[in-house]
Amino acid sequence: MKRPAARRAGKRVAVRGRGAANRERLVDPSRGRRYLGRVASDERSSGSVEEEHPSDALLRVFAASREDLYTAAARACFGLMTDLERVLPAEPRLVSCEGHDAEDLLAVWLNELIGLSGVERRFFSRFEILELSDTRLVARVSGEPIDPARHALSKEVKAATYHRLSVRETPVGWEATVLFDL
Amino acid sequence: MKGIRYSRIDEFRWEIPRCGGMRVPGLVFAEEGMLPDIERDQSPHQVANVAHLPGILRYSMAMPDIHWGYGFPIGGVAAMDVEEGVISPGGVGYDINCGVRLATLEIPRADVVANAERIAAALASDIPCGVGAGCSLALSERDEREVLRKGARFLVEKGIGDASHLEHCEENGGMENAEPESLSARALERGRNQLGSLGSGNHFIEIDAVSEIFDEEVARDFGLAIDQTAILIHCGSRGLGHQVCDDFLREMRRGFGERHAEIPDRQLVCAPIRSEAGRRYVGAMNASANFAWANRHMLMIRAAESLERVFGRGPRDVGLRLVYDVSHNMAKFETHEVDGRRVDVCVHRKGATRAFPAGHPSVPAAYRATGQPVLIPGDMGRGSFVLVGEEGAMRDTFGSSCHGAGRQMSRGEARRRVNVRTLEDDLRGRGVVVRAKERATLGEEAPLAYKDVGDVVRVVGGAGLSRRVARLTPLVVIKG
Repeated sequence: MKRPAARRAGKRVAVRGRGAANRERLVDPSRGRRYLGRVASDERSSGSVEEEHPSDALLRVFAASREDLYTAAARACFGLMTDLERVLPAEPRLVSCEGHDAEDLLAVWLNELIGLSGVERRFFSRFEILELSDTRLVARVSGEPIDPARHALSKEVKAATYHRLSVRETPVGWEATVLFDL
Repeated sequence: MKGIRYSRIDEFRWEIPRCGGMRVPGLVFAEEGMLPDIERDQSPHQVANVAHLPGILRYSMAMPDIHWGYGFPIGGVAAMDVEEGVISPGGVGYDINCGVRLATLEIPRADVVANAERIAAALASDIPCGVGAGCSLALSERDEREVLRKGARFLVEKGIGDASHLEHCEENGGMENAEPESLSARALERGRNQLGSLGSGNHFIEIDAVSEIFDEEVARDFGLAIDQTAILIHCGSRGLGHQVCDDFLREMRRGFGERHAEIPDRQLVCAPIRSEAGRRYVGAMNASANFAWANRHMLMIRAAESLERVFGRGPRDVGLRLVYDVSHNMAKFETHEVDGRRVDVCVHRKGATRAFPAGHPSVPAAYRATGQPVLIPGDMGRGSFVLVGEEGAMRDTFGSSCHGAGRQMSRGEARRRVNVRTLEDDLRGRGVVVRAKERATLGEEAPLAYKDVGDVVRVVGGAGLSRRVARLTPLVVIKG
């Protein structure tokens, strides 16, 4: 995606993406919250935009492929908790989960990671999807134990909820909406 | 309320008439001036969505601190017929038995003010809070199951706190019919390292002072006097409760089948109360609630110990005395009068507080002649309120009232609009010392992000649900 020729005056919203954690970007208010900036030059376009919600985190996640969408959603989730740039992707482990459909699978995947993070007191920063269908996902996830001396501690994410949950294909890739309970 | 019709019943009540698959009308408690804020988000639609749930009685209700949640609106109240109705984990929330605890102290206000920075530093270092924090008390598997069965009583039996801390607590600090065996291994594992931890978001521990008394007699019964200092805690069941909610949402989705079509939001997935899934969820929810009461009990004891160290005084001088502890994310089995007959109902309170009046048998003996204390935390600038339950709540809201100020601004917008240093200076100027685990997120909890809690309690007072007894002003605030 190219940056718009002229940076129109737009509303600033937090954008999180690979290699661009917690940056702010411009979006064009006349076109809703469409993301106009590029997230990272060295990766396929994927990332997330935070939409307005009074108490929780309503994120729109986008990616070039379905696999990348599940990865980007996981990064967005952990991006709410900490600065992922400072989390070493160590000690990989396999995570597998099943859902009723693509949307259910997204919630199950995110909640599996949130639960695992809570039990092991560990942040995850790298997610590699090894197998993906509408109802099943296998991934290798890497991260390290939470270290307050090195990791920014932003906020706990209680869960990925089913409210407004959606996964859809767009003309340019894939998009999901997830409301995280904080 | 965009796309939703509503009609005025009186100064404090607005009805959303039945339409489509709604089984009952909606009822929002608010003043007319609050409606533009309520209309801005999805919460009126959520009131209408909840009205679709099987077995719902009379109204799908929302308290004046209503705002957009997930599934239920925050501030939502829905009572289901026990025989024909459903229980919805989303109507309880991920933070099962999130609630508020108020305990008075014998430390003079002037001493707290003079030592506010030291108190803040001590509490911030002694209380595990924020992401990935440890706990105050690591539990063995066996002890965890006892916590889940007994709630705060487990700690009192271990010599942590005393019996008075149970008597002055909703349900005496522990639900019966708690079933630890209905929790998944993951839920148990998440709880084991989180007892006595605060979490993050809007959870807090404060040292407050009573700054205003509205009802001398009731305040005396509650043990509150002007300038009295107190600990106020807002927290819940931590990762254990979050996991229980997620586990049962998944389980109930499996058995949901055709009912899904008539329920407009997947987060409202539910099971008949009398079904096996419903019964197991109630057992797990009650066990999680017990964990939450033990958690707030532990946090209170830890905070009192911190104060003992700061002042070099013993427990007697600190004078910890529990006023009350309320749950505001819970489903409770209660008997209420509906259309002239006594009915057993399951009252979902999602961001709403039980508010039983004088004489109700579930109000602790010490307050039975007065009514139940209703604890309403506000924001860290404008303070909080202690109310007392009134008859109107039994008549109109299945014994429920509001639970807090209610957010009016997203976290992102608050972050963009608030300079943390200016906020800290401003609060310090008003006599409030604030500590947050992550300073950068303090702006999200700034007073301007919240509705004025004074407006919210005026509405529940005007509607006869609960009336003001005292106002609390924060002196020291610890945010997760």
